[in-house]
Amino acid sequence: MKFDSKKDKEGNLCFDFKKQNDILVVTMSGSMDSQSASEFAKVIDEKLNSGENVFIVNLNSLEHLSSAGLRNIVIVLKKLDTLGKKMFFVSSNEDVNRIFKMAGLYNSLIKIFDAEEAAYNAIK
Amino acid sequence: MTDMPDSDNYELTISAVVENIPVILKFTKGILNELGFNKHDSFDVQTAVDEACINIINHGYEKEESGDICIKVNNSADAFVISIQSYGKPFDPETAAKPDLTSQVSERRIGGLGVYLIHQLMDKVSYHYSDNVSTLTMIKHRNV
Repeated sequence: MKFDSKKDKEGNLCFDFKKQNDILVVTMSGSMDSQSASEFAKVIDEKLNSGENVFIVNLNSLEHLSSAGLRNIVIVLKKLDTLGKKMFFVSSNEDVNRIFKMAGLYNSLIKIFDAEEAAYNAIK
Repeated sequence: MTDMPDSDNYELTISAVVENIPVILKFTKGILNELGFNKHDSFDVQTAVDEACINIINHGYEKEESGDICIKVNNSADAFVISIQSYGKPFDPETAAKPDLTSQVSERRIGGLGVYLIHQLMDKVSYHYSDNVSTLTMIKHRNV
């Protein structure tokens, strides 16, 4: 499966990766909807298989987030928890954060940092 | 598939399959942009439409039964009115399971969350079933 690393003009869900020290930063853009949301779990599975242990997931550029997106995030977190691996989220996107808050996930079960630097500092 | 925009009314009829969710969202987003809704309102409507359609796909039509979703948008000066019609078994969002918003991540179930989000994101939601047609109508008032 190929994931386009550049932001898609059509608003499709895209993933961009950068490695910083031992942390894999995953930047998502486009629409995390009922059709595309499961791609997140597939992408993270691939990265786990290639040996990644710590993830920062940046949600700033998401244009849409539905309950299927939240469900996939929770599924991934449960799996990482079982494996003893870590994932931190970054979002200063008020629409995305509003969905997390409505679902009761914002900074309760899922810690969301407002900037990548804050997430790095928390990991150190 | 029909796509017939005129001045203030838009309509899309499409097969109720998950692969068509992006098509439905692009249709809705295009109208919201054209009507000048701000990105926050647009985000809310997009999420509500996604939740409504996936409920129809997952619960309104049995697996062996396929059918259509018909989306109608009416624009008035101060509100975006979207009606989503389907022809499967009745699925009243009001009777859907309530979401679990409190338990630990290892135990968290996300069932029922979609309907909860629809009510949170839209200003008015109503459901009507008559002559084998389910109609979910959602209204979002325009924020400037």
